[in-house]
Amino acid sequence: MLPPRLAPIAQSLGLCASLVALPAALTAQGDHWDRQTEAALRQAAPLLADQGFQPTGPARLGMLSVDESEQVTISMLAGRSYAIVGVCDQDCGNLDLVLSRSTRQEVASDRGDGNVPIVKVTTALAGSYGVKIIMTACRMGPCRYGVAVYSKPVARVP
Amino acid sequence: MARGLIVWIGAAVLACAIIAFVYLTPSGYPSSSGPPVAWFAPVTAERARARALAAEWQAVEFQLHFMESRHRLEPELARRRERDLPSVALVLDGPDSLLRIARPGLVATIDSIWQELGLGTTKIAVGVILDLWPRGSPGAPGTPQALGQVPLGDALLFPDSTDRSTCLTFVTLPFYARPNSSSAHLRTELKSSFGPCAWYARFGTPSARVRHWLGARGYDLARSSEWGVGRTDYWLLSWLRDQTGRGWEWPAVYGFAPRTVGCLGSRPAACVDAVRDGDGGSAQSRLLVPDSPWDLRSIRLIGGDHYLVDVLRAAGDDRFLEFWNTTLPIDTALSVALKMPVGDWTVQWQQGIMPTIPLTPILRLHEWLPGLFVIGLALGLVVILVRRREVR
Repeated sequence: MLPPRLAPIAQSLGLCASLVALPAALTAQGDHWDRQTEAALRQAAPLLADQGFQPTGPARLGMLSVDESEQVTISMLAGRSYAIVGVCDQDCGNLDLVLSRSTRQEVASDRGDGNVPIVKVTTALAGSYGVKIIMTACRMGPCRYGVAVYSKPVARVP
Repeated sequence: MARGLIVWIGAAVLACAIIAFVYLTPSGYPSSSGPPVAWFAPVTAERARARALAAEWQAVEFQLHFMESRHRLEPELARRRERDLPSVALVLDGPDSLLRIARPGLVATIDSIWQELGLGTTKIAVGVILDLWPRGSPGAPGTPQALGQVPLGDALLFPDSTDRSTCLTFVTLPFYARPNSSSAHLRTELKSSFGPCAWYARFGTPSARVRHWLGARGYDLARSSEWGVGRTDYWLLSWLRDQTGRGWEWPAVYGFAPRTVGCLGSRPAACVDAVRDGDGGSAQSRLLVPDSPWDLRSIRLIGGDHYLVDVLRAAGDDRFLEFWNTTLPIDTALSVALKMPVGDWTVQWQQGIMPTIPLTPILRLHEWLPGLFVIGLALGLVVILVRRREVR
């Protein structure tokens, strides 16, 4: 546990790390729509960093047409808070995220109307989890999407 | 034999003779100088099976060819994506000597066609694979013509889960190297080869419903992408008209499916039936090998190549895009886009391409006059006989 006076410094370092780590993860040179998606992910990073979240690894980029979905597997540690954020390009109307432990056990989801879904969860069990990305509305397909996973230690209640 | 009976028999024979003379005359049957009727004739079961086998073999050849070409196209497409250049790239196959000369001109033609279609950097890129190998000439071992002998036709590979952003089109130009091949003809060939890929480039991947519908019918309504050009004469019209230019070549007309002829006869229900054919299915194939234009049974709408072009023109970009992404039944989605019942719209559209075909029986003067004569004769005989039998 860090002393309280070092907390702001650590938070700043975390923010810097996220800003550095995310572009590093998005090095693939893509087209106009890929760049839009990358930019949206970059915009989300500082907001999550303000809440103490740090990226756990490179962001996942892909493309889907309407009603198509993709599943990615992520490793999660027990006793940490996670924020999984999804973004998509300007033609995308609705993107959903579903986090599940197995095919039957849904842990959390964001099936709202927006195109920037976020799933926040605190895990009790470590292991592999599946993140299903569902493209619900896309005006001109395929729509690009990006998903990034952030985590932070669980804040202890005094 | 009674005299009255002889009169009756004589009258019946005369009536039969008149009817036979009028109605059994082979008038309207195509003359020997008409269109090749055999082309429209149904094929035998053996030939159909041979064709199906050949189609399967051809599909496998295409799949292999597309896989290889996709790898060759990838660097150029990636370069164009990064620099926001037009999303069309070219791969050429053919003799080295020919490729060196042909490449600059063909690249320029493809780019200018892309520009003419109003396309720039698009979400779905189009890869054009041009096969310039001259067919029929003896090839060196290992060259495509030596391997194939059966020339590959044109084909398309739509985006799929392995590559969602590329549509590939394969075009054979076996006559490219011939001195008399014109550049205008080449341009037309290349432009028509974009076909459904151009729709993908302009409006993106369609909804699953539209994809399955078009896939089930071999993308027949999206073959043309000439949305910037006015309507042209339909090529089949001259085959369907007789020598006078007013009548119909009925054997050719009868070669079409009933709903196709019904739509040609301005029947909205038949038009709707022809338009929505394939809707609700689950055609998954990403490979399209176009049907022969002479397989009349496979033609659902006469002039259908330009159907979606005209729908786009009538609906406008926004409403067409809604249709393209629809989850509604196809006829409903089209009616919404066109703001009128799709049957009525298609009847009008069909009339713009072809004159309405008369489907109801129409008797001309020389056909109904003998009928009236026979009726009059019968009535006259009855009157005469009844009068003779009157008891005085």
